[in-house]
Amino acid sequence: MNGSLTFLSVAPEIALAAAVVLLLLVEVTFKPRAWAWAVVAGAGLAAGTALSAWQWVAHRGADTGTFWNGMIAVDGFAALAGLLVFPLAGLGLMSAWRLAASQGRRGAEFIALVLLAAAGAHLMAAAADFIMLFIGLEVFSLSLYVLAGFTRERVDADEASLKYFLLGAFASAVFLYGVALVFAATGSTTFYGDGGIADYLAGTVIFRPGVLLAGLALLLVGLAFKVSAAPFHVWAPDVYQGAPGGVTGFLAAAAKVAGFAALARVLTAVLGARADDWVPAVAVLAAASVVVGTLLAIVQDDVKRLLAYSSVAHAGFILTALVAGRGGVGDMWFYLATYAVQVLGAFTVAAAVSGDRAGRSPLAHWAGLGRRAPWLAAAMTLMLLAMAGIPLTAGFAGKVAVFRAAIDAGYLWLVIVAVLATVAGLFFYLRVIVAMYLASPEEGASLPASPAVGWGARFVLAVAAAATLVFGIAPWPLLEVLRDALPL
Amino acid sequence: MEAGEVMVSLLILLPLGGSALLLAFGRRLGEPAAGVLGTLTVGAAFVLAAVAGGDFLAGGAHATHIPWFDWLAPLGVRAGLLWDPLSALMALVVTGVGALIHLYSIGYMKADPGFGRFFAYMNLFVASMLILVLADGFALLFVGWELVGLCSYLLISFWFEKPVAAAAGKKAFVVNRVGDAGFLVALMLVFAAFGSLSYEEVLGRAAGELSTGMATAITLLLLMGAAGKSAQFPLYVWLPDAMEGPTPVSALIHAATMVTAGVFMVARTGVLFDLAPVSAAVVAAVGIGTALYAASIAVAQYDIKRVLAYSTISQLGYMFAGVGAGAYVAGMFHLTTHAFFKALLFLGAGAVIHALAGEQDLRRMGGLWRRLPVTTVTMVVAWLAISGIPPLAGFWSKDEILATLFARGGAWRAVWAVGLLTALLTAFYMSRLIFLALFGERRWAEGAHPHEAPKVMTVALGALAVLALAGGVVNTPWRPGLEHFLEPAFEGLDLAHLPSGATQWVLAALSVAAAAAGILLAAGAYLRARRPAEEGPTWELLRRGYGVDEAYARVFAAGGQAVARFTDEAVDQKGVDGLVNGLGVLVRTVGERLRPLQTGFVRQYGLGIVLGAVALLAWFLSRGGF
Amino acid sequence: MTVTAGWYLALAAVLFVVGASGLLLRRNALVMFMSVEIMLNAANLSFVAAGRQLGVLDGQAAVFFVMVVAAAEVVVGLAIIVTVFRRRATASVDDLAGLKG
Repeated sequence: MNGSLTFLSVAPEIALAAAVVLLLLVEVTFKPRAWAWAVVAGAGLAAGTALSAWQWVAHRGADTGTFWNGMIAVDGFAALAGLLVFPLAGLGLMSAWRLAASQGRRGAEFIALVLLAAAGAHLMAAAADFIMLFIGLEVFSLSLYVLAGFTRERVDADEASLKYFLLGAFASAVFLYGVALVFAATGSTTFYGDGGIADYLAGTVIFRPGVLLAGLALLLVGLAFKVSAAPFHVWAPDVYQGAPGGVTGFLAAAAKVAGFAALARVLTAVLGARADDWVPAVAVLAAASVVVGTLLAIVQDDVKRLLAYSSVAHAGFILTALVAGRGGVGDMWFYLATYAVQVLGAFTVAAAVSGDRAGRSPLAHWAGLGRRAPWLAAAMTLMLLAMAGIPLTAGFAGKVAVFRAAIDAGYLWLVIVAVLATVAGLFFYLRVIVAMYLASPEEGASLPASPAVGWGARFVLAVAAAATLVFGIAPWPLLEVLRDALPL
Repeated sequence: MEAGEVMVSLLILLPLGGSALLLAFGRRLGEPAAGVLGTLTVGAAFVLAAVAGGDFLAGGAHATHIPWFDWLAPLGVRAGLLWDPLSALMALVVTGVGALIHLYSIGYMKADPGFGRFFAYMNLFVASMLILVLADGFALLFVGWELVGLCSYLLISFWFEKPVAAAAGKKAFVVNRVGDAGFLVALMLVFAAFGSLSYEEVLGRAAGELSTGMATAITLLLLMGAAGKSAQFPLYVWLPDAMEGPTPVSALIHAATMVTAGVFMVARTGVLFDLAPVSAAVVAAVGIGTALYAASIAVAQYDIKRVLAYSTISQLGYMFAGVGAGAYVAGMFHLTTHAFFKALLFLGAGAVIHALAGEQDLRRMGGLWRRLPVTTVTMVVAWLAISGIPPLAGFWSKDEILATLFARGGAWRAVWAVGLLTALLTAFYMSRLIFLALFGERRWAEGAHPHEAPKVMTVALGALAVLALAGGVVNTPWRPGLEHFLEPAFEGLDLAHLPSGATQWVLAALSVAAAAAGILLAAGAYLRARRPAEEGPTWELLRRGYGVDEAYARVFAAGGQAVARFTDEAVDQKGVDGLVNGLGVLVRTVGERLRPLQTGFVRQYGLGIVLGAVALLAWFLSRGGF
Repeated sequence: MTVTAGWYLALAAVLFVVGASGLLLRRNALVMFMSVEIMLNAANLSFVAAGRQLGVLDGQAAVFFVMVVAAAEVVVGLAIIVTVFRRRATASVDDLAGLKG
């Protein structure tokens, strides 16, 4: 099996790429109505999901198999990433559907970019080689750079796009240089197998590991940037705030999922032998993220920006699970999956409130939403409470899981920092809730037209709410599945 | 599930369902149907609690664990209920007093535009408190804990159009959050030590596995949480402001729910406090200190509800002193009787305020007994009960705490002495309130026409008066019924005991003497005086609550502003709501201080990334070098 | 004096620092982007030098992938920069600081 060239191993990527090509060709040739785009995109994502499901059934619990000369991994981990990313892309498209449809013919490009981003994200999780990881990362990131600035006629969007691009390219370059240094030290870019990096690190005593360690540090910088962990989070608030409302949810959710999938595989499977080196560094990054994210979220008056800083804090919570090494990967997946749905739901509401093209979403837009749009306000409340970690939501279960993992790994101090941040965090989530229910719109304030919610967005919110409640009340079945299906 | 288990589960589900119904259809139900529905659900819960708790009265029944669902069972987190004498007693108090307060509210909230919403929140409040007391583990306890905090926020700022009310709600929330921080860290330590959050595991294994140091750390942090919820020093500042909510809310917060949570939690985790004698002593010290301190402030307040608020803080101090000294039964006993007479006092005060069309200042009351006969009779019962005059309920419970403190000997005698002094003060300030409000000369405006409250309100007052009058019979030295009832819940604990024989009589005589002295002093000062002569710096200091509130605001706000001056962003824009809560300002200020770092300039972001990368490089290279 | 692979690695490190400094010091988005390209090429040089020294072809192979990715990045990057320039008639990143705090 090792080294064989099996197209099935990259079938999800092929399915999505085919869908993208088809979509663009159909668009150019037939200029169809928007529903045709939906059919093609839906077929591509459904195929990707189905193939991931098949991989899951066939490979969960088995050892990681590599294909294409050790470039692509097929295992429960990669399948899981597909099962999360592809449906998430579908939900993201539904959430942004009105935006896409309003873009005229550019709508097809929009959809194509979302599909490409999903393919890139899956490739990041399935890569068994740093070069493949780099390619996945770039496919993913380049799509997001464009999506962030998709409503280019708006001032904030182009700024968000350029900032995201410049800093993202910079972080990618740092990451790549780290890969080059690791290659110089170990003679390989491949993760698994004889002569792979994991093998090398486990079997060789390195007397002068300077180049290797510098490489690891730079790798970590690149990936920490993607997941917006402090102090590499600076791009996230500006990009989340500036990007069009309809896009931000997918952007935030997908970046977390893809970044953490790559980070988890690299740290636990490839660098497991050097855990003593990276675990303290990751713990510090986690603590910095929860503290910085929470403190800065408290002082925000713009809901999208507030959610961006909250996502920095959540990056810290998720990193808390990784402190436990392999033992925490299942907990990380649980947190990641539930958070991705919550953040997508929250930004979907933001897009409905402030408009799906708008970048900013000042708190004043939210005043009295409880009366203007009770269901929207209720959905937002649920998402916010889940992010705050209130019991009986999935957010609480996720926090218990990651905290437990870190406690077992002996990082009680980190858990205490995270708990205190959780306590303080309720303030800013509650500020939004208070604005929705207890504040009245200011006299003469120019509110955006009454919240218009498309069927796609409604579906997204229903799914997000259901998932948040179901996995809040009965999280264990999912957590168990996630925990025992990660061979790496 | 057996019938009993179903009953206990229904206990929570009834008010919870009522709350959901009221939230959805409250407006359509209208008056008074919404109120009746709210009252009935809580009343039905009381009946269920009484029936289910009957087994314990007969003796021989064991604590029942009622599993709900597994939640995160393999991680040591389950959802389930624990039905034992302690939770049964709490459930009875919460639903019993709660139902009467609901009944009263039907009259009090008449014609309020938020009538349905009010009862929805009140039902949710009762349900949350029931979750808190019935939880079979720290996880569900935390659910109740958070929900209670949320409901108090919603109810205190119920009239959110009033800026004071909104600010008071926020203050309650912030101060409780400070306590919650300690509580949550304690839970994490419990989690780390036992790998579980269920009572059975934690309390069962604690004696064998927990070191004294860890037990002390956990219990001190738990105390922090308890002090926040139960308004003990220094986290009491929210409670006096909490009266900005409608009066029935104050009654519910002060008597049946919320503030009792801290005392209950200390009693529930008594096993841990037993392992940490230092913490238990701290609990008692905080309690008795708060008791004296708050009582002295209550003496000088003019706002009738403020007097009662400080009185609650003081009485909770007694309970803390009791449970800290190992007198768990006496502490829970006082919690119960206090629920009766304090609810009565608040509802009576509400009737007075109602009668004077919103007047709350004692200086503009007086001589109301002619106009408000029922209110006066019931208030007098409550006054004598809280003052500790036998044979009313308050006497038995307070005296039991004091006697137990005395019996422990050593330094505890000092605690007892402070408690006795506080008893005198209590009798004094309560008499002052009664004399100024109901007796003496009338000082209210000419145009006012005080009138007795409607029937629904007086019925509730009467029922509570009977309880405050006779509630003491459940636990007298001759028939210690409550002690036998609660015994199984505190099995294996190092319980403090009452002194024997003659000592007990002497102590009882002393506390009655203290109460009588307080009442007589107040009678001399206020019963005949045209207007209270309360001037001078001492009165002023007491009236302002020793200036603690202002000091908090000054210290944190001044410190915060000093930091803010270094930044370009002025804190003033948000200062208005920030000033209310000192710690909030501090956190905000740090946030504001960090904000300018996010300049918006890409090149500075790049620099931030580079600096982070250099730090990471330095760390990794320090692990191996070149 | 023989020029060993170590020299190339050192040169790559210098290039990397030059690129990073350029990103931090220059204001023009286009020049900043070129600096990033220099950083990518520093990585490329390291790949080639290390691959040569270790006697494996993986390094050279990696460079081809990187070059393709870099080309894609140029396409997207230039498009974004041109969009900004057409809208604001400036390519100076210091003029883009509307989103902050």
